Amino acid sequence: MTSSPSSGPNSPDLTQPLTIGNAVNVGFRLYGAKLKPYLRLAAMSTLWVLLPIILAIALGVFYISTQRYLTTLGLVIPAWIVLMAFCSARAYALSAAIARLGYAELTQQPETVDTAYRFTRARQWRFLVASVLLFGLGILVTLGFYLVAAIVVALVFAFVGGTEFLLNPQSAALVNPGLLILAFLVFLGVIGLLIWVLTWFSIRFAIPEVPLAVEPGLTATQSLGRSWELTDKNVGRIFLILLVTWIATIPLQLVIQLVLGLAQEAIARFYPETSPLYSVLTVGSSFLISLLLGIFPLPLWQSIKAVVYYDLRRRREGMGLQLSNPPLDESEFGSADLQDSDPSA
Amino acid sequence: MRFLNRVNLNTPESVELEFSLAGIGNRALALLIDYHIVALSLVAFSLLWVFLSTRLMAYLSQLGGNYSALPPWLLALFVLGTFVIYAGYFVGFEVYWQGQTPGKRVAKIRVIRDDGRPIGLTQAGLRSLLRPIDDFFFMGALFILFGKREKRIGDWVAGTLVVQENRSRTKPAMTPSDRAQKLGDWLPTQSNLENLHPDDVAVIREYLGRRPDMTRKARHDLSLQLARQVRSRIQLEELPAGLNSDEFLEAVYWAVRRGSDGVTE
Repeated sequence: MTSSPSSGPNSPDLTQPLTIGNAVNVGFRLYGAKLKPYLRLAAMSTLWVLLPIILAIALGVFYISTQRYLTTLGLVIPAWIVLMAFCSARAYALSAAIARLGYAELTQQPETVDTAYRFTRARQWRFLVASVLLFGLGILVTLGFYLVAAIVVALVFAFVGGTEFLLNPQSAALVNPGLLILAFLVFLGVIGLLIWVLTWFSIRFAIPEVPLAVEPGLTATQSLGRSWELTDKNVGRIFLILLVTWIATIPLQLVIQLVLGLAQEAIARFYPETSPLYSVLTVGSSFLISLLLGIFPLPLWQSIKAVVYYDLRRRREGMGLQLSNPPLDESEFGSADLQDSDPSA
Repeated sequence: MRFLNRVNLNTPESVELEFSLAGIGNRALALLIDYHIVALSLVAFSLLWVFLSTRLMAYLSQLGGNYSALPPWLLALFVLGTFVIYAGYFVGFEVYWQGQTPGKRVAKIRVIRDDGRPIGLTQAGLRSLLRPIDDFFFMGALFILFGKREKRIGDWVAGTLVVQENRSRTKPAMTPSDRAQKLGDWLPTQSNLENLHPDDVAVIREYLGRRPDMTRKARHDLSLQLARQVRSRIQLEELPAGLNSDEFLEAVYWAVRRGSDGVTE
C-alpha cells in the first residue's frame, strides 16, 4: 500500500465545490504545508499588535513613577492613538497576507511571501477601515436588537399583568403561573434569537479581508459588500465549517491551556499570592502568553477563510467554469444576438 | 500542492484501488453528528430508566415484602444500557451500514479494511472499544492529524482506514424548456456538435447544475460568456431570434446528451 499523488476515480477533485469536511481538510493542509512562512507572518502581525500595548505600559509606568511632565500627555495620547492605528493596520495587512497566500495556492498561482505582503501592505489602511466599519456595524446590530427585544419583553411583561404587579405587589398571587412560564419562555427565546442574529451577522461579514487581499481595486466598504454577497445562502455551511475547525483544534487549545497553567504556576512559585505583584504579574503574563500563543491558530483561521472565500467564489460566481481552450475567433460568432438570460426566470 | 491525502490499496484479488482519506475535517464532522445522536439517546434512556425504576419500586412497595436488593440491580441495568448505547451505536451501524454511521453518511466517509474490503464485527468492535482511549485528551485527533494514513489507535489495532465515498457529480435537473428542446433537436443539423470536447460538455453541465446557487450578476456574465464560446466552438452561424444564453446552453447540453444516448434519429 502506498500513498499516491495521482488522481483516481475515488478522489474528489477540487473542480467540485468543497464539502464541509473537505473545506476543513484543505484549510489544515494549507496550514501544515506552509507552516513556517505563515507562522512568521502571524508572529510579525502579533508583534505589531503588541507594540502599542507595551509602549502604553512603559508610558504609564513613566508618568506614574515620575509624577511629572503630565502636561505632555495632551500630545502623547494623540500620538499614541495614531501609532496604534498604524500598528493595527500593519497587523491586519500581515494576517491578510496569509489569506492571500492561501488563496493563491488554491488557485494554483502560488506567490512569494514578499509579493503577497507587498500587495496587502499597500492596502493596509483599507483593512483598518474595514474592521472599524465592521465594529461599528456590530454595535449597531446589537443595539438595534436590544431595542427590539426590550420592546417585546416590555409588551409581554404588560401582557402577563406585570404593570398591575408593580402597582400592587400583593396581586402576585393572582397571576396565572402559566403566563409566567410563557414569559420565561419568551425571555429564553429572545436570548436564543440574539445569539442566532449575532452569529448570522458575523458569518455574513466573516471574510471581507480576503477579497480585500485578493481583488485589486476594492475599497473597504466594497469588501464588506463582497463578504455579504458571497456568503448569502451559505451561512449554515460556513457555520459548520468554522465549528468543525474549532472542534479539530481542541487538542491544540489544550496545549495552550497547559502552557498558560504552567506559567501561572511558575509565577506563584516566585511571587506568593499575597505579594502585591502577584495579580499584576498573573494577569499581565497570561494576557501576553495568550497573545503570543495566538500566533499558532491565526494562520489556520486565515487559511480556512481563504478556503471559504475560494469555495464561495466557485459556488456563487462559477469561478473556474470555462471551456478548455477558449477559441481565438470568438469575435466572428460572438455577435450580440444572444440575449442575456434572466436569472430570476 | 495535493490538498487531500490519497492511498492505493491492493485487494486480495490484486486489484488496485485508490481512495482519498477522510481527513480531520470529515471525521470531526461525522463525530460531531454521531456524538449528538448518542448523547440524545443517552438522555432519553436515562429518563426512561428513572421513570420505569420509580414506577417499579412504587408498585413493589404496594405489594409488600423486602425488595431492598433491587436498586443495585437497576443501577447495573442502567450502566449496562449506557454502555450498550455508546458502544453498540458505532458497532451496530458500522457493521450493518458497511462501515458507516449516520454521521459518516452525512460526511460521505466510510470505514474499510486495510485491503479495501468492508469491515466486519471484529473491526467495528475493536474500533469501538478503543474509542474511549482515542478520546482521552484527544489522542485520536492527534494521530489523525499527524499520521500519514490518518489512523487513530482504534484504526491501527483493527486494521482499518477511513476513506471518502465516491461523490456523484452534480446533475442538472434537466427539464429544458420547450424552446430549448426544439432548438436541441435542430442543433445537430446546423452545427458541429462533435467539436465540443467532453470536458466542455462537463463544464456546461456543471454550469446548468450549479446556476441556481450563483449570484445574479455572475450567472448573467458566465452564461453569456459560455454561450458565446460554445456557439463559436460548434460553428453555429444562424440563431433563432430572441434566444437567451441559458436556453442556448440547455439546448446544447440536451442535444449532446441525446446524441450520446443514441436516441437521435
